[in-house]
Amino acid sequence: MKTKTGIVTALCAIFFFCSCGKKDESILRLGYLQSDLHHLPAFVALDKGFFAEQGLTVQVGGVFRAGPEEMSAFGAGELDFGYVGQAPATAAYFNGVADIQFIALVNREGSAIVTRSDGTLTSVKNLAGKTVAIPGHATMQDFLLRRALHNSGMNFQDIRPIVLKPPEMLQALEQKNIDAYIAWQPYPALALTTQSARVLMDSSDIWNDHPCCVLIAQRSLCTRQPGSIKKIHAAHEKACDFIAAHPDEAIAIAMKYTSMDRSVLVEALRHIKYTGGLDKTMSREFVDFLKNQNYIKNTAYTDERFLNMFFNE
Amino acid sequence: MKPKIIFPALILLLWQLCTLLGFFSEGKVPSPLQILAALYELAIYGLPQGNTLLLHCLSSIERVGIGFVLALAAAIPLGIICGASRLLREMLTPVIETIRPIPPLAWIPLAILWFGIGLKSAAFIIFLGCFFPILLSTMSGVVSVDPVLVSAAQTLGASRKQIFLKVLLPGSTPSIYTGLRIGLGIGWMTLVAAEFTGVKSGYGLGYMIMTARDIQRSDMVIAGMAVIGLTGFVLDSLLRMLESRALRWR
Repeated sequence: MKTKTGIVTALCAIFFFCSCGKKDESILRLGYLQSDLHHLPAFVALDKGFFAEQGLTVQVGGVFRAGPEEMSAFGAGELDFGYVGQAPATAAYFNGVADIQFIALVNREGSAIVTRSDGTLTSVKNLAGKTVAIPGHATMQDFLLRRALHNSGMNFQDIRPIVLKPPEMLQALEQKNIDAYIAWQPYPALALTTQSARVLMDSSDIWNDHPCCVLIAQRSLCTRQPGSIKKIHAAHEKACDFIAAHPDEAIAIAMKYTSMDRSVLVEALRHIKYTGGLDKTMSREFVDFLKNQNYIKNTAYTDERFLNMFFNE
Repeated sequence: MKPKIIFPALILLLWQLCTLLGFFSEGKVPSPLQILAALYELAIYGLPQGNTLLLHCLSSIERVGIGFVLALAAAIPLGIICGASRLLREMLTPVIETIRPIPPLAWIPLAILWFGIGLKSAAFIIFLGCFFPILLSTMSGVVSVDPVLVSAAQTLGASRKQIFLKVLLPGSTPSIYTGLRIGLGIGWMTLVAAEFTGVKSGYGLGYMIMTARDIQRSDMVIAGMAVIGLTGFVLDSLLRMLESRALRWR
């Protein structure tokens, strides 16, 4: 009996280890965030076959609820490239969790500070002493809010910040648990369509043309397959151009991937600029913010490390 | 040196060596020394900056304390009544066994809807974690009181109140304490879920761990987990001390 059990166990172990085969290098695993309108170029590229046009075999390796989770997947080697917020990508890179490179920007702007329609807040100055929700510390929205407060002669300690996930923010606002929130599209647009909220300030007025989401890839992929990276970049740029040239079709694709109403998406897309290219100046400003807040260790930051974050064509 | 110190010390040493020799990447598997450094950083500078470890700890103890006390206030009387009444037990068991397996995390959206953001919704999640183990242990304790003792008390002319106070309650107390310890442990484990969202004060160990996760500081995540584990251990020890005093007769 013991011998039989041992043989069965050994066979199972052999089967298990054999099934953990080597990864097929020709298939590129893509990650993106669930229902994130900022990642519309990814949805368009997949839907219209732009990756395949470039001769790439792309598989969706994971759809994530938050950037840090996607970066953990990069750290574990489960993804080859992906669309993610600049904030979690930067934090993961400098804190040694994932060795990635930025290939391109995905979008500029596309966030807003929102307050109740029937509330008394008319400007950022009125946020003093108020409870304001942010999606998380060290996010781009955290930085934008601080910048907006600074521009109005205030600082972060003048408000009562609270961390909430964007899908929960509107409900919290309507229930008067918070006085305002800052989130990425389409959550401000969703608030507007319910007519229970209004935009206090768009992120374009806080930091004009600011970067938000980025297209990243494993450094090992960039080194081994620079040709594939260029093709990924080309597919991404084509997707951005497609969104600009065919807005109705882009909205239909967005509806498919986000399950949001057309009216919400139409409103949201007015505030997002999809783009390629890279912006090292603005990226450095954001990294400095993370450093000053001790979100990345000062010792982790060097000019060389910063520059190595970008894929050099 | 005692064996219970030697073994953990050896594990820590091996872990430190493996990280030093590069078997693990520091960002993914921080070394014990890095975790200690992270603990120091959390204690002195805090995360987010200014929100120190001690204040996070006290906030979490407050939330768990409230949830736990509410749970025992609800579960012990209900458990005793259900334990003493077969009819009530049979009526409530299907409801209890249906709700019990639902993970506290699933209740978060409803908790926020019903109680808003802050202490009440977090305490509710912790209440759910603590309630069922205390209830079931209490019920089980009452049911397992030797019926001969009850009969003997009846024979000696004891009233229902006296049977309850002198036989059922003392007889079920060991089981109740076991339920309290398990309940407190589970309540403490639900802390991260409870503080996952909507922490108004900006303090809490679960909240601190989620912030560390957001900035990909694995060293701080593990440091936070260690503090949760240690605090849970201390709270359990306090309960055991209370138990040994209350059950001196055992």
